[in-house]
Amino acid sequence: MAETRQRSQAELEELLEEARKLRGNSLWSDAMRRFRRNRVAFASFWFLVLLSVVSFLAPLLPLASPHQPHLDRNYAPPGFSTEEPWSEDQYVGLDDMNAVTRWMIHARASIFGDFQLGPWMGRDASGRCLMSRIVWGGRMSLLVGLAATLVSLLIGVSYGALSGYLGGRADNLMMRIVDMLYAIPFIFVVIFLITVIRERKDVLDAYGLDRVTAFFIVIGAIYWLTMARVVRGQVLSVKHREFVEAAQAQGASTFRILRHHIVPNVFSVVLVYLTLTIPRVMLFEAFLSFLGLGVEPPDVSWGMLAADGMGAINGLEVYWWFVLFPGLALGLTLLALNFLGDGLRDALDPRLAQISGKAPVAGAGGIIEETS
Amino acid sequence: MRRDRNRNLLALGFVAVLLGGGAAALSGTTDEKAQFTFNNATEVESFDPKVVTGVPEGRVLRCLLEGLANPHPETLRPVPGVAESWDVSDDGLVYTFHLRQDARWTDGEPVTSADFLYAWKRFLDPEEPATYAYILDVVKNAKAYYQDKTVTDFAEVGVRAPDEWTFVVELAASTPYFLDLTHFYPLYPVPRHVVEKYGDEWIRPEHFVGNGAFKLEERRFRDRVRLVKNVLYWDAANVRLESVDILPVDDHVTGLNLYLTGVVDWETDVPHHVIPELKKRADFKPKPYLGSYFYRVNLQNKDLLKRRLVGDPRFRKALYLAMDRQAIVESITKAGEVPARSLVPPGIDGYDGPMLPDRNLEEARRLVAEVKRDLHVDKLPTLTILYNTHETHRQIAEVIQVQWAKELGIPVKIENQEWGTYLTSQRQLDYDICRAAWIGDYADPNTFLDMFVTGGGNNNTGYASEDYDGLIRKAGKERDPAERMRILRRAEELLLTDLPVLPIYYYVTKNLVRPWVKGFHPNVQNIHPLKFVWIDEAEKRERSGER
Amino acid sequence: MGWITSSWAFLVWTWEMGILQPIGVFLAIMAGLWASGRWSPWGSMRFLCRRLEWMALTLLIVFSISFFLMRSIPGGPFDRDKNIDPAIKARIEAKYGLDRPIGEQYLRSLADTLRGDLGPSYKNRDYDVVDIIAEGFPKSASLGVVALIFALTLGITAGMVSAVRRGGWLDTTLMVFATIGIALPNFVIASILILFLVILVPMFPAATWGDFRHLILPAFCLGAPFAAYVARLTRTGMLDVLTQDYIRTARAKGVGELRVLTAHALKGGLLPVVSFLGPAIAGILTGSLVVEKIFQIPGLGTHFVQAAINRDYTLSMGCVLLYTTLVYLMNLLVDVGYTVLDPRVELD
Repeated sequence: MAETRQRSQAELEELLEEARKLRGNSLWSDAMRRFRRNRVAFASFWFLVLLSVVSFLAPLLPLASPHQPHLDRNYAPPGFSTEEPWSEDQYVGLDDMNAVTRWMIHARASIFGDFQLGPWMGRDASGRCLMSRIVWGGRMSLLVGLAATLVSLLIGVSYGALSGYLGGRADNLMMRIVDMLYAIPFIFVVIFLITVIRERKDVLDAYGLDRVTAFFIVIGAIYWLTMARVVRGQVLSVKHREFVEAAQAQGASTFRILRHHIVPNVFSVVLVYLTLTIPRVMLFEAFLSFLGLGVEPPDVSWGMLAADGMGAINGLEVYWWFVLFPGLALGLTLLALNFLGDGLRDALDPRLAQISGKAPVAGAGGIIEETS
Repeated sequence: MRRDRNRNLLALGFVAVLLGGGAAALSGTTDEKAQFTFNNATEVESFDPKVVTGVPEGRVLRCLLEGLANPHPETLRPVPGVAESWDVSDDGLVYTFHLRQDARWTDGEPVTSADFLYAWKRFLDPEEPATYAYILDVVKNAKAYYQDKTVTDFAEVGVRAPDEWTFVVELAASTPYFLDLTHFYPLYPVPRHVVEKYGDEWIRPEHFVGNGAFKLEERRFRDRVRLVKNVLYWDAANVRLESVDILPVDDHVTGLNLYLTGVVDWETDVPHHVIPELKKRADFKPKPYLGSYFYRVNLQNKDLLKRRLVGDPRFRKALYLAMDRQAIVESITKAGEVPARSLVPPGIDGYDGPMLPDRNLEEARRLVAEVKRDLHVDKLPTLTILYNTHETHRQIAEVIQVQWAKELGIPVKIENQEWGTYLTSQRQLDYDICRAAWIGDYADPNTFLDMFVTGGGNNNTGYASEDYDGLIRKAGKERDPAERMRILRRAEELLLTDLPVLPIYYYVTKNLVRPWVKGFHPNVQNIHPLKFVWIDEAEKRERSGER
Repeated sequence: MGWITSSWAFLVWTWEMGILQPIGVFLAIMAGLWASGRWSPWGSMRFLCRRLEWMALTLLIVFSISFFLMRSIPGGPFDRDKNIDPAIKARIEAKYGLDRPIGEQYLRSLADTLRGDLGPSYKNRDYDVVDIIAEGFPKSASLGVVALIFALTLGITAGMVSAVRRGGWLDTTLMVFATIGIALPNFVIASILILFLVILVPMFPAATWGDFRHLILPAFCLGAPFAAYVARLTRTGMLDVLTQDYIRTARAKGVGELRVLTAHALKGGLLPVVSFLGPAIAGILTGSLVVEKIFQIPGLGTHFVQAAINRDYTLSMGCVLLYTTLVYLMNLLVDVGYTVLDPRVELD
């Protein structure tokens, strides 16, 4: 008896080791190879890396302040001349910025002095440098995309994994709830919610949140449904695989099993879904900005710039740069993210094509996803 | 095979439903363009004179209903409306209106003094007074009836209809602007026979009955209001527009595009960033408007330090002196607004208001230093400028922020709130400095000045001065118009000394009107009764190629 | 011909009055179940009942969340820039029951809603919410229908062409356009279209509602992202199907290429598109929020945004409830439709 037990113990160890290797090596190196071969996706990846770096370093670059108005030069077309020197007090809300940003602005002052690039992309309605606003806006848009997606990831993965792992009645109920939430046109509730977080500072203060953080949470909180469903599906299929049963037999705790065995196995699905969620969240932010519910000044976002661009389309004079550049920035980034997501999906698991084939469209409708 | 056929049937049915739905929704929506179209910039709140408050509502009601008098299209002096003529008693307290006998409701019933009496009684209903009820406070016992309820019988209120064609109003005190109120749209008559029959439903398009130059033909929510000439109108012979469309497009850029593509003949406002371009055109001529743009100062600030600071008139004076009003009108608003050095805009007959000194930085700095010394304040607290979310307001706030911060060393933040919240903050005195504006209801300084009496509904600053209240009260009782204006001037002088508000600029009108629209005259209240408007068809044909 | 137009007018009228709508949806569901060849009165009824129970629960939750969220926003429906005298305002609010405790307001409003009485609009007091919805819904619906037709015809054609010319320049161009369509917010697409087709070449009206020309631009903007998505789905589906045996058999038999594509391949290739219809319809419904605002179309989207800004409690509640119902019913229809196309799927 003891012998068989020992033997099965050894077998189990072996199995677990094998499983670790399986997902550790072959899966990822295969995927990397496939991904490299997809030139569009690969290029998109490097484009996004570059964009993130530029956006992150925006305060350090020799750009004009995104807040400094030049009322006598509003809607000036693109040009190269810098009319007046840069200075640190041209930033609105400098005290409210985080330490890193402030440090970067100080550092910029010592590197470039009062030098600044000209309005290469023209000026906006208040005569602010559009190029600088686009770079700073990218900072905010990417941040919204990432932060809100992470929130959705957190909720979605834990909910989905728990539901899938528990199974049975609990799973049934939890998925019913998800089904029901799908049928809610969240955009309406979100509009109410955002109005509340914008106008009830007292409520936010009570929870120690600032408006931007609350904004991320609200957006993230509506994108977790599909994530939860996808993760649950994966968990269900992984759960009955041998290495999990082995761990269970070893007496590992539920939490340990979730963390060490199930979550890493659904990681690839999550990664793909993540890259496809970021553009949707960014589009949603743009959509909210258009309705006047997006990020608030002095912060800038691409959605806000693109929405401002609508005002420049009139029959008297067309300020083309005001529509073109923000639209281009937003469009290219979303395009790259979509390509990257597609590429990752193809690379990691061709079978996943079906999942994202049914995935919801970006844009206003993105909040409502398939029921089935 | 059966399933296949079924599927095809289903697909066919689906397509048919789609196409049918599309066709059905579109059928019957094709409209012939009206002879004259204007953009009212919002869906009106109501057609009921008792309910309405806003300028857009006024534009529509002036077409649909007619009061005792009409405003003259140029001077806005009262000219005969339903009342053919009127007498004023020597003491200026009793107005007797003689109604014309040929005035008709659109259903053919005569318009009589009973309709006016009914409308005003309804207006002052103590159970449910009109939003604008206070406008009739000048009438004897009106306030006692609808608010204090010390008078319970409407017969004691100073409004009578001795016979069908006579309407008598008795005032509590001589009120020179009372005749202007007779063409103020909340005081228009309502058809008693219809209101009594349908109650609150009388306002529905299928029940609505008016007595104005135009008749309601169709009303589609947030789509358009179609009016046609009212053939029963007593002066129909002189009404020259056959049909009018009223659009509710609230986006000014879209409105401008509609004007430029020939859909709309009159735009009531334009986006500010195209004003320099528009000013080159012949069809855009900004004119002075009876409105002021100013900042309110919260005198009952919850923060005690701020309260002590802004509570000092010298500090407020310094804030005022440091603002560069000239730069604001030249580089932001750009439509030819006039920098304001008082609250009441110029252009009111018989009123010559006081003026504050112009921008003076040295004086401002000196005052701030003085206040700091006297109050033993070393570090000034951060003041926040509150404005409702709008590009122009933000730009103005930014300019002022910089001026106060740089010239006076006062740390300033700016904050925007969405309209509803902004109104609440303002009403609850939950702000430091707050953007505000006021458009006069009638051409008299009183419409601006009585706002700031202690506890006034639109005071919103916490300003309370017994002297000021006394002056406003005294002006209300004064019978000699010239002396009354002198008292009001003294009141404004006092207000400008105390400065609970910081004037910035006086408004201008921003009408964009096609050159072939005639009978459309600029005036200080921006009132343009369509009764007098007509289209020069020959000129229109000649010039309609121009964009 | 007279009787056709008059009976059509009657149909339209009953539809607009809201008499036919529930019957229409019911009949459509029943037709779907019948066409799937698995129509049994008892089973279908049970299926419907269960779905409707969930819908009722969803509506209740949406109602409650919206109700309390709306009332926690500062400002009320009777705030004006010129302050109303507080005493007068209090009496107006009392008239609409806004002076009562919030719990009582909630229960009253819930009871009224259950009776189908959504009350008067607080901001536009000449109208009842039901009337506004009856006026606005056909406009939003026709916009949505035309947008959906755009999305399907454009998307399926592009997807098929792309699949047939796989790897060619046409395929690449179409797919780049499709990805752009997904990646650009529709208000950016709208501003480009307005610039070219309204301002530079005045072909279409800038905004407002009227005849068919008023519908083209907004419907295109609304349908564009969905057209792009449909194109990608069709392409994938077609590529999948084109490698299957029965297509090769058909080709080998000498069936014409066009006929192979339309008669054989398309049916299989469209399956993913059908399952996408549910989210697409829902997305088009809510996407009209933006498009209606840009083109100033007096539909439900415009009304909702305005109502939320004006704190028009009753109207925004009416819109939320209507949209929830619509989304739910559309998904139900699509589920039924899916069983028709794919016999393997069972009704739950």
